[in-house]
Amino acid sequence: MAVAGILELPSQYEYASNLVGTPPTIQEAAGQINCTGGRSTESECPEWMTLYYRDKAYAAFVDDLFSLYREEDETPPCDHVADWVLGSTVLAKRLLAQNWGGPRVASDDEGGLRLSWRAGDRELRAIVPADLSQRYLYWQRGTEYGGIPNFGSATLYLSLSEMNERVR
Amino acid sequence: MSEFADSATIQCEEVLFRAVLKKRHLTDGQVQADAFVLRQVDEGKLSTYRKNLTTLAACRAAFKKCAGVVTLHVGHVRATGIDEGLSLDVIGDELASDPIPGHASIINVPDPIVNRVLAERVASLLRDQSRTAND
Repeated sequence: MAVAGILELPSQYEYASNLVGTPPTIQEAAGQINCTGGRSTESECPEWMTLYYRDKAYAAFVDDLFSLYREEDETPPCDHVADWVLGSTVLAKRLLAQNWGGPRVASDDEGGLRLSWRAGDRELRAIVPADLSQRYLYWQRGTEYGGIPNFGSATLYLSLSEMNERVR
Repeated sequence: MSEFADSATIQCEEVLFRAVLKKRHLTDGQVQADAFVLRQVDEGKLSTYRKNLTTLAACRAAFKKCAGVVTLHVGHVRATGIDEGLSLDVIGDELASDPIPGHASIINVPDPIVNRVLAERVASLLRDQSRTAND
């Protein structure tokens, strides 16, 4: 929590600092944070950002994603890919609550993102290339494997939920 | 093309080095499947170096940034994906511009644009058989 004088600034202020170097559309989604930590734009706060402020596990995932923009050996994802991934992970996080395990995040070096979850011999990968129409889920359970094309947030939730169920 | 540029010269007993160039492809010292998924720049083959023609240190030094190096057995690579109808192979592929000797390529790796599920599966299998290379 950042401290300015005797005022303890809300977490939004810290988040604004994390956005340095991120693409314009993400900055716009975040809106301008004023010095009191309030939001100066009238646009609705994206769901993922609300969750970011309230949930440490989700915040860690978002921070990890945004750090791709700062790492020298990474190719930052396209804005629309980051937007899509952030928007489509909210449902799974909300419904899975504490059973949500943050994914490993990597870029595909071509403007897309790869999210990976692993639990025992079960794996789930959400592959979101720059061409969103080519996105798909890859799942693996031991020697069984398969893919789900054009997944959305509900399918992501169901797949993660199933992976957690079988491991428990 | 070098004298090593055919699969017959690379025995199944040989060991390959594969440089892992991104930190995010190594988690707690374990390589991730992402490191074995073809990208457009890979031109359809995964780059490796033959252990009996180069050293781990030279392999690390050959790249501006190298997060780590893993080893693969040629025989295991060739057996990868046989159940799925694949025929991965390792061929000598040394170019004039290669900074160190012993460059070899894993070929017949599924292209994620053409067959994304199989590409991910093979990436998992290569990850599972790889070992972190230590000095």
